[in-house]
This record gives sequence, C-alpha cells and structure tokens, in this order.
Amino acid sequence: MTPSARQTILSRLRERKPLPATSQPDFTVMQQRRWSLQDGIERFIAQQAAVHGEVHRVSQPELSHAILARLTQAGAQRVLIAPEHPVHHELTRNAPDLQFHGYDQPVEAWQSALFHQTDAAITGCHAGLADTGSLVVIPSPTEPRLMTLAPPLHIAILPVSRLFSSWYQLITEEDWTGPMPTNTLLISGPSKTADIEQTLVYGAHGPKALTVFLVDG
Amino acid sequence: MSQTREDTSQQGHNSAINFQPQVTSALANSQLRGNFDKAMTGLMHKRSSAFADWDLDALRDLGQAIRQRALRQLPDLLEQLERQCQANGIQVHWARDGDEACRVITEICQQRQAKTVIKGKSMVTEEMELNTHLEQRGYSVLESDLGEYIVQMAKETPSHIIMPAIHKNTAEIADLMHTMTGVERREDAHYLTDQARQQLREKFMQADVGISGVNFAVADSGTLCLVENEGNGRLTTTTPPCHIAVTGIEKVVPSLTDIAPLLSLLTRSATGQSITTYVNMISRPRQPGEQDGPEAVHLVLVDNGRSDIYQDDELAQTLQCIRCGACMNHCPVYTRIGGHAYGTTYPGPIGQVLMPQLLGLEQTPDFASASSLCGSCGEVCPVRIPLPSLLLRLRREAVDGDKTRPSTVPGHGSKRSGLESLIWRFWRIVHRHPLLYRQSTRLASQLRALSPKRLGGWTRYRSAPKLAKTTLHSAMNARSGRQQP
Repeated sequence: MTPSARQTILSRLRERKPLPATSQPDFTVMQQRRWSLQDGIERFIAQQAAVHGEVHRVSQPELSHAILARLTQAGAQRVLIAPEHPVHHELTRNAPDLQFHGYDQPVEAWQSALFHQTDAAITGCHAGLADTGSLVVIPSPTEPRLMTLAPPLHIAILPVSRLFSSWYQLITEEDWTGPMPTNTLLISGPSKTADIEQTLVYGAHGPKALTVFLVDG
Repeated sequence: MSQTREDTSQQGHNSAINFQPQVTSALANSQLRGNFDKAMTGLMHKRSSAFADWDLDALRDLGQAIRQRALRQLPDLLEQLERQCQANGIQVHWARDGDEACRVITEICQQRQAKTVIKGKSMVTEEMELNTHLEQRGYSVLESDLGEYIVQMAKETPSHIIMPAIHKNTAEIADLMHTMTGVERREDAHYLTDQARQQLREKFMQADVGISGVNFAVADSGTLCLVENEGNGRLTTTTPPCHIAVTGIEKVVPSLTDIAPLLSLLTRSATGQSITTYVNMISRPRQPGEQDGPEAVHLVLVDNGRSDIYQDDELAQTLQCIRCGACMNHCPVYTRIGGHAYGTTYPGPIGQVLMPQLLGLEQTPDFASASSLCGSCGEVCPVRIPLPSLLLRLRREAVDGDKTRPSTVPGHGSKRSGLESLIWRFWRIVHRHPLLYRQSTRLASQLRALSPKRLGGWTRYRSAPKLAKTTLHSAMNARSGRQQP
C-alpha cells in the first residue's frame, strides 16, 4: 500500500534529528504593554480614531438616547439588535418609528434582506483592547457572525469595566487555553482597503462606519 | 532530484529563468518604477513609525523564538492541530505538493456539487495555481480581495504578497474596471472600491464554496487565524455553506499566546498598522442553534517542498517567515524592478531564498546573486530570518561541486563551471606557494598591455580594471630598499 500524504509528510519531518534548540520565548515585552484605566481609555479612543472608529463615552442612563441619536444621524431605519440585549426594550419604547429586528433565523432564510435592507446593527462586545483600539467580539446565536459585517453601520456597546490593556493581557488573564468558540473576532475600525494606489478607502466589504459606546458604571 | 521537480514558476508570461530580460524591461518602464517607488517609500516610513513605542529588538527576539520553537516541534504540532480540528468538526486533509492539494480541493467541490468558488487572499493557492486548476475543470473562481480582484481581471499575478495590485495606478485600474465590468471610467479610488463592493456582494451570496488562506494555525485549540482589512476574508469564510482553508504546513504554533506577539509584528511590518481591521479566528463549522457560518469547514495542509527545506538546520530558518513582505518593501532591488520581474509566486528577498529551494537552483539561476547584500532585509525581518546569509549559502550551493557533501537544495552545483573551478584551483595553488605567486604576479604586470578592454557586463557601465606597472611586492621591496641606508 502506498503511504498516505499524511504519513509521507510526517515521516519526512521526523527523518531528521530535531532542529537545534534555541532560546525560549521571553514574553516580557508583551507584559510591559500596560496602561492605567484612564490612560487605557484615552489610548483606546485615540487608536479607534486613527482607523476611523468613533468612540463616545456615555453613562448607562444616557446610552439608549445616544444610540438613537447616532441612528438618526445615519438615517438608519432597519436596525438589528438581539431582543435579549438590555438596551433593546428602551430603544423600541423611545423610537417606535424605527424597525428593530433580531437576527433570529438562519441566514439562508433572509440573506438578501440582511445584505441589502439592513441599515445598522447594535451588538455587545466581549472586551475592548486599549493598545490597538480593538473590540473583541464573540459571535453567538443571538448576535451571529454576519451581524458585525453585513450592515453598513456597526454600533458596539462596551462597558468600561471590560477594557483590557492588550490582547495578550486578555488571553493570559482569562486563560484562553484549549477549545475556542466557533468564531472570535478582533475588530478595529470599519472595513477598509488601500489596494488602489494606496488610497485609503473606508467601507470595503464590511461596515462603512463603526461607533463604539464606552459605557461608564 | 531537480529533474523531477515541475517548473511552476510560470507566472503569466514571466518566469524565473528569464529573470534578466524581465529586469531589463522592468527598469525601462518608468510608470512601473514610479508606482513602486512611491508605494515602498511610504511603507518604509509607516513601518518605522508603527514600532516607535515598542522595544523592537525584544519583540523580534520573541517572534524568532516563537517561530523556531514551533518549527522544532513541527510534526507533533501538526498532529495536535489535526486532532484538535477534527474534535472541533473541521475536516483535515494533507497534500504532498500543489497538484495534490488542487485535487483535494476539487474533490471537495465535486462532493458538494459546487459551481462557484469565491476566494480570500491566499499566497499558497497562488503557489499551486489553484485558480487555473479549478477553472480548467469548469468552476467559476472569483478573487474577492480588491487587489486580487483587480489582478484577476487583468489576467495577471500579484506583484506583492500583501498588496497584489501595487504595480498599477488609479488610472490603469479605472480603465480596467471600465472595460471589464462596464462601470463609469472614473479615476477615483472611493468610487472604484464602492463599485467592487457592490459587484462582489452578490457573488458572496451566490458562492457555493469559500477558499481562504491561513495566517496562523493554533494547535492546542484547533483555531485558524486570518488577518485582513476589507472584510472579504470574513465574508469568504462565513457566507458560503462550505469553507476550505489552505495553509503551508509551517504556519502552526502551539497556542493562542504565541499569536499575540506575531500579530503585533505582522501588521506593523507589513503595512505599518498596529492591527488590521479584522483578526478572524475560526475554530469550528456552524453549530446547532447558530444562524450563520459554513456547515462544513476543511483544512488543507500543504507541504509542497517545505519538508525538504526542513532537513537543513540553516535553511530551515526560511520556514520562520510570517509573510509580511517587509523584506521586499525595504529591498533596493525589489523596489526598482517590482514583483513581476522575478516571475515567481514570492518575489523579493524571501522569494530569492524560498523559490530556489522550491523550484531548484537551475530554474532560478540569478536569484541568489540578484542582491547587493546591503542587509536591509535581514534588519527588518520581524522573525530575524538571516536573509543575506541564506542568499550567500545558496550562492555556494549553486557552485558547490563536492559530491561527498549531501545537499538538500535541488539543483545543487547547477551553476558550477569547469573553467571557473579550474581558475580557482590554479588561484589556490599560486597563493599557497610564495615563489610561484611572485613569479606569476610579475609576469602578469609585464603582460599588462594584453589585459582585455572588455569584460562582459562589467565594462558595460565601467572601465576595465588595469594591472599596475609593478607588483605590490616589488613596490614594497623598492621602498624598504630606500629606507635602509
């Protein structure tokens, strides 16, 4: 029997004596990337701004009004938000003329409407990262993967208490070893490209705008 | 060994074997040189400012140590990755070479009765010419990264591993999109990007299979990590019912903590960004209750010459590469001739080191010598691949005639010339015997009138060197004679 590709490749790799030992990775340079809460907030805002992300600091009671103001500014009519989201109830009460929907059916059933007739999506975040101004988003059955990708405006809600210094700090402190969720995302600003003569254009294939509400308390 | 290797270096009309005429025509193209000069100068500045608040040496040490540790454990990590992916529901396939990988992917497409394939950016699929393979079998294949989309429309290949269409300016792209897709001819990057967005959105929804590359694979969680700005990579890996991820076997690392520093190095080295818009970590197909994502995820692990490179302690460092492209952005040769002149999938310094090992030194005869050895590539490499030393090593491999020294490099000794080695043998004898040395140098200076005026390429732009009237030895003797009364 001829050996499988798997056997051929693995035995070729094991044919040689192990590569010479080199120095062990020293992660000190990653551990040094730490900011105090106040500096971290400032850095997060500045880093998001550098990639066209908008960050607004709001208190919990102001949140739904701030979101509605942003939706109005964007002229959004059809908005995706998980009905379970704490802010959902207040939004529907305060803006009866807007259409709020949940992403509550398989994408195959409404793909065209999702891509063409949805103006904005509002989601939570797992965490924020000050170093790179990133959102850590873990899609779920109520906030699926395309929710942060298909609509032209993504509004993300991030509690200040979930702000970490860096990706490295988050995964070491929360001990992200072993199995991972189906999909995990770091999102930094709206989608962009510079493939045409290095001219930076926002709104390539994903959202054209990203607004983060950093919620105190 | 080299005879059995296929020459897959045919990239459009260019090939590695025709490097010299391709260089000549690239240098004569002032538009092309202008496009590259502008882009590469900008990228060099962006990279250095992106690392301004980092201890870059320490970070590069860490990147190197992580990649070297991963390579040392490579076979074990690949098995762990396979186990973990399978436990997560990802189907794992292995391919010895590009053709086998193409066959594996075609079979998956057949089983799914697919017709249309949409692709995210992937250099390993360029390496194995997957698009041609699939198109010949009747599949419609569409590149979705804007740069790749442009290059595909122009029936060209990428000229840079990160910015595939960097050789074209806005006017050229406006012409191309106008001709190929019928949009208005406007030299406006915003307009053109928006048109491409609309054209591709429909294609994403219709595609049966999405094919992507992988930037890093995490063994202990079975996670595929993809880095991108446009969102096309996320759409490719989320919208079609089947996702096929293709990766070289060298891209696996033990755990997620290894990704953090490599990511910090990759995006800053490549485009001067502190991070890309999206870092997309995929660990399993759509689970019960989830509303989107592919129902099937496949991982194709491609060797294609990598396990041969792995056999040599020094050359195995080639496999540390994280494909950032910084070496080409900083290379005085690449920035003047552009990526197409090389005629291979990977251009620039990493291409000059990698391609001779994949295709054979006889197929890439000028690659190791097309360098001034200025050292820039080695200084900017985020994982400290000693590119200049590896170029020197390949120069030696190309002329080495010692059959007793086993070499893993295909085409070993292919540039060895009988006359040249005879000259060096004579040179060695002369230098080991003082009397013979003095007599030969004296004879040479006496016959200086006969020295040739033309010395091939050397005298095309320079005057020929001329021997001195007297040898250094006799000049020194005369001088010490004067000083001793």
